[in-house]
Amino acid sequence: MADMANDYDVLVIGGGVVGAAILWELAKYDLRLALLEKRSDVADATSKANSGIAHTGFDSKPGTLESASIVASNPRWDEICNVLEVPLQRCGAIMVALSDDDLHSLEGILAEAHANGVHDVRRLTVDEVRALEPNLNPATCGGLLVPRESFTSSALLTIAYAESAVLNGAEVFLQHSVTALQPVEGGMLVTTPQRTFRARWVINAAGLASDAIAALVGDDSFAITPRKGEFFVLDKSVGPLVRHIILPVPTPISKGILVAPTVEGNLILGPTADDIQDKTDTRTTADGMKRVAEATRKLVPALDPYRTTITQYAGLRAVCSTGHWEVHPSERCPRLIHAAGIRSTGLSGSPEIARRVGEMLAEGGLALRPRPGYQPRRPAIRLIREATPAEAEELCRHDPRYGHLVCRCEQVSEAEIVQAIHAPIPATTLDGIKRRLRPGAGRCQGGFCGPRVLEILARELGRDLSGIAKSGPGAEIVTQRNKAAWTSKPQDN
Amino acid sequence: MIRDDIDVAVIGAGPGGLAAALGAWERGAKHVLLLDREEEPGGILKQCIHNGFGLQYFDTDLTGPEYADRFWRQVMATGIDYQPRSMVTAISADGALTCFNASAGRQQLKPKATVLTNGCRERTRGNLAIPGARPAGILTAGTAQRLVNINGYLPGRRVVVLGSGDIGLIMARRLTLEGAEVLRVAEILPYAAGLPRNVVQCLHDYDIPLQLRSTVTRIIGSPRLEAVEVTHLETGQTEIVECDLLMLAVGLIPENELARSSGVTLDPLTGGPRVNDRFQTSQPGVYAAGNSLHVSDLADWVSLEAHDVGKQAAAYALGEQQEPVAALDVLPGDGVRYAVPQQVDPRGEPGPVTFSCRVREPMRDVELGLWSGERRLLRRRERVLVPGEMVKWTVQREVFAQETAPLRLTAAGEPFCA
Repeated sequence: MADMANDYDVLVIGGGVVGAAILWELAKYDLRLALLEKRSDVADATSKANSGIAHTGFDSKPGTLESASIVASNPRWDEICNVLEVPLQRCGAIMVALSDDDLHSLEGILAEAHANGVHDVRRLTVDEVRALEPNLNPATCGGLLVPRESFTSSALLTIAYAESAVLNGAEVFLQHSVTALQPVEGGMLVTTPQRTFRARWVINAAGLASDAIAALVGDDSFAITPRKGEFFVLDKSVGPLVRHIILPVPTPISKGILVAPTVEGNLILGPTADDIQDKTDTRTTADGMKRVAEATRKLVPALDPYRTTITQYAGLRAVCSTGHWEVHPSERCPRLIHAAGIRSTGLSGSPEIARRVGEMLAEGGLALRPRPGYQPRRPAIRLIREATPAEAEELCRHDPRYGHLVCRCEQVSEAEIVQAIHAPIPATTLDGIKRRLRPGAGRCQGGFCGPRVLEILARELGRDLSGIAKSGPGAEIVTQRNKAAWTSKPQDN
Repeated sequence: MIRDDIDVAVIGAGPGGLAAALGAWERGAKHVLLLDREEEPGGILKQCIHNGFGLQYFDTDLTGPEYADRFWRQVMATGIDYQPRSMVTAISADGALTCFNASAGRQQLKPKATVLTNGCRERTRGNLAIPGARPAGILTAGTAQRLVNINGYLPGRRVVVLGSGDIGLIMARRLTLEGAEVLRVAEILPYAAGLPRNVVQCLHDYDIPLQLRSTVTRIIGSPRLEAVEVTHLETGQTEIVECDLLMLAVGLIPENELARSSGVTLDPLTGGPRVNDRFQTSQPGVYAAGNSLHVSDLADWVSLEAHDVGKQAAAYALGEQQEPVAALDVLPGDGVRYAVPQQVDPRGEPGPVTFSCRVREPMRDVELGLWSGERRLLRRRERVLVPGEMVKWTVQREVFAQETAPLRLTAAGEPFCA
């Protein structure tokens, strides 16, 4: 039983949507599992800053793993979002033709959709498009309807995947950055600044850093470069402008800046697609914002992004040098399985990627026996804003802190915040709370609730106020007590 | 269970709500319920530890907490019912309030009248769409004020202030007193947005530079703010200013979330509800006053207005308010940014109407005009008017009692840079 020396059967590197999905999938089996995430939270990089669309795969390249994964995953969302208690909006998408050239392109896109096995995509006449979306550009001359193109929350899904796994025995280590990988007999050693883990199998789901993880075993078969996508978030007051995800017809220059209704009732506009060098550069740019505004106003002229925006953000997709997904065991080190190079459809393909990784592990000799007592349901925090009057009364009776609304704009109570802080994947930062529950994501952007959430975090975590950060170490909201500036020198970080 | 024994519910216990509740009580309302989301009454006054409050209302110079305390003592001497830690989330078409309370849970209240005195919120970095990183170290001035004055913590020690709104000016001084270095205040307009007295007392007296026609065009640093890029709009010159706190004082917007979601008609110019000269909104029995109606520069204006509005709400609740006879729209004319109330009843109950408005730009030797169609009904001269100072103009109803065309407020004068 040489394996007894292993801490874990499988260790997943990376707490984005792909890594979390793999952990969730494997937690169905009787395995010892852990996930290492270098940041202070899961879903804290690419998986928090994207469009949140669960695609059908209608426009992916037929015959690719990407296409097959998305097409296989899409029908499963209703069930997955149901058991993980994640919002899902089966709003559908409309691709809008604004010219004869566009109309011509739609034919090819329709054929490609059918080749991908997405058979419910169909042409819409101009009257049908206008009836479905009255606020589109008057130049609209036709469209494509993609009925199952859906909207969810990539961050909430990632958190739910990870929490479901934790509820079924997996462990998640945050702020654990992998610095070394070493193959050993029957497994691998995985080193972080805190400790060394030993696992039989390691999954590389490190997103933008997946090439760096591969390089730790001398595998340089692919390289990752970041592609920036910038977004506007608009006020809920303009949310009703569209009901579907509104897509442009892709051109050789631009694959498409879209307008999408979010599960919370806002609109998001974006993304741009700019190849950059710096994997940490999530800055928004004046030029990028301008391009998003112009492109989306072409689709929906009533949009006024600069006057109705409540915030903007940018995310980085992991573009792979090979031009396709890398989901397979490393040729240099077969006990390291890559789930890498998943550029922009990680959410959409995540259930199928996870299933395939499970298959690879089984082929490698890992026994996948159902976990005794497996709990498929991951209970979400009950939200006061979604409760019916009777449910709200019941929630308040059960926990009076539900009656203490901390966030006015998004109606978030103290009870919800306390639950998030003590959840299976604990929220320990302002951004972590915001990602899960939305205080600070509304109109006032935390102007009122920010200090209150800070106080609750400090109280629940038993820390001083100066120990609570926006996003992680170094991002503390307050740094010192009043008057301290008179008596202390600036501290080096 | 729906509570229906309330005459007047007042939402928010800041300088508006405290005065409105007193007004309602004095007018004879038997059961006045004052609701606030926090434990202590006073609203934003609690964190305004500077002076300058009370000069209009109490004829004396007070700090924010002292000002709130004066009102609170008066409230405690009445039978006004104060319910803390309560947030009203909805007003139904029939006037019922949904309220969440930290001990009573979800409540349904059916007051005979409601006064919205729930204040305003600050414009954010997101509203301005400033490009760049999204680090810690960017706060609105009011949030910074709360952290410093209530929590007792400094959010930074090298500070750039964007916008010259009053709270930003006050906080520039406040952070200086705490030992932080306030490097400059950048203002996009060619003049200061805040009150002239605050420019003098908070910036000039502390040698804090005010850089006009300038704005922040880039945010630099992660995970904490390291610098901002300041651009001068006329020269196009940019400058990188190292700092660890960017404080925003770029405008206040009436906190209209409740009014909006309840279907109350809003005025796009003020951001608050449209009201008639009794300060009733488009929904009968729902009144608005103070910063939730239109943002004032002085708490005293808020209290004075809200005190009257509380009386109006009580009169409505007691069934003693005359039905409107006629309605004339009140519009901002040349030189005027907005006008409140947005509607008057020319043949309403006797008594004057006080118009509030702001000029579009600083001007000297000003002539204010009240017009109906092409006829000027009244004029008033002012030496200097600036957008930062609200103009109050009390007009006898007889002046427009016979009019049928909409009223217009105008301001004409010689523009200058304050």
